[in-house]
Amino acid sequence: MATTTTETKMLTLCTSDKQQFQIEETIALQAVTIRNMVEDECASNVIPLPNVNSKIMIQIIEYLKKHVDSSVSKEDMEKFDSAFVEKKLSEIFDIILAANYLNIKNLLDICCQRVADVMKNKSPEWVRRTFNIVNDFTAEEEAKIRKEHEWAFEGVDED
Amino acid sequence: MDLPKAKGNPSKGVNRPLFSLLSCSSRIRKEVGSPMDDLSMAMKKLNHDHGLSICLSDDFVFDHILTRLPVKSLFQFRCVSKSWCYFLTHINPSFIDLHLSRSHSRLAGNATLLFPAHDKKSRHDYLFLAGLDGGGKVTQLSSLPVEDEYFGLSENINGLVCWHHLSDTEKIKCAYICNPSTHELVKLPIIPLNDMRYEKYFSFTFDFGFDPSSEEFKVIRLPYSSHGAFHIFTLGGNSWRQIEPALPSSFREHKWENCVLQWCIALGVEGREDYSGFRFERGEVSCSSAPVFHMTAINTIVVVIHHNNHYFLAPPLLSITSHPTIIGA
Repeated sequence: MATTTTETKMLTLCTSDKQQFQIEETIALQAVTIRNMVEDECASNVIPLPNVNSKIMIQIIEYLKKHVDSSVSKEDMEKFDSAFVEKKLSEIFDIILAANYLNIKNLLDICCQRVADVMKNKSPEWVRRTFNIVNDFTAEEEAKIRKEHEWAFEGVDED
Repeated sequence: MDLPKAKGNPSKGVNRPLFSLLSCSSRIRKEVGSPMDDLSMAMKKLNHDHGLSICLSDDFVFDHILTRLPVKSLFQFRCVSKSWCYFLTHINPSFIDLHLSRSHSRLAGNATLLFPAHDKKSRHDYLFLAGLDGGGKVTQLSSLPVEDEYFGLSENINGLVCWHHLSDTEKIKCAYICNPSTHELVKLPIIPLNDMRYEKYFSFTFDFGFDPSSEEFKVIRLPYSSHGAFHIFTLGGNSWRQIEPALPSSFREHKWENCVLQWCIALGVEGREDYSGFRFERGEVSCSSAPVFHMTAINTIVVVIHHNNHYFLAPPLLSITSHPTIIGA
């Protein structure tokens, strides 16, 4: 890497469960929130990230380490990304919140796309359960909406 | 004329500057102040009891996840809840822009096939869609009770296509605009016949385009191999507008780009082998003519084969006789 001649600058990130992670600054600065904190000089040696726990942080660091490496081909990066999002949906949701908070656009994009891909052939019931949404329609109202666009309900996966 | 229950207003907003994810998140930050609040915006509530540690807010799900779903799913998820139904029925232009740009990047390189077919038995025309969003399955979009087995289908213009009949009967006056994603089909008004004796037997062709300056979809009807007026229909309006002045002779080739008729070529009638080039742009028509034997058009270059077998290249709108380029004999 280009930093071999100069001293590699390290940052320490502190997660909600008080775990500390020492990572290279170039890796951490991909997160716009961290970059802003460093640029605004409001970060001392240790950057507190009270909205990210260590379990999620490990995965995010794995992602950032891969994406800082400019020698990885576009194809390999896509392979890495699609393997990275092969996780349980609840984990993906945790990463989405962390990526949104840390402002890592591409990570947010691939995780949201993963949710959309899982969701697209699911039933409305599945969506309610997954997103914790209360069905406030009466049975008649719901049946009416279903009838208006019957074609859209063909080929929906069984729950 | 609006598309019934259209996804927003399809004649507007489809091609606006993109409402990017970045501008969205910076907007949220401006409104709420700190990154801490940003997180609480995305999180509806903590719900440890139900095994879900987090829950995404409706706004977050709409902006970040629903914009990535096929249109079919968006119709289906109208019955999730009242707030989802309201959002997915009154879709705002920024959602449409984001959805369109994400569909383009998501589906890039993956073809969706749209094709018309005629069933002689039932005397119905059908429009079918096969592609990724249907999981490779063929979906029937529309059926129309007509007796015409010849149709034209325009290219995909920002997700809409124009479907029209090609035969020499009165049915030719019918054209439809279809949104294959939403299964919507709008029949354009029929142009009143000026002269029943002749026009009834003439054939016409239609072309469909998007005018980026006015953000409007337009259909042009051109008289094909016959006399007749040019007409333009703007999606969102309710009638055809005749283009003045009418073009004098039978038309063969044209180029209609961004709702500007770049040029068209017409042949003289009754044995006169005239070439005419026309350009129509916001009401202005210019033309030139020269005798030719045969001609064809490739992009903006008109290739003319003269009667003594010399090939000419001429840019449209220039008189061929005064600016010919001989490229071979």
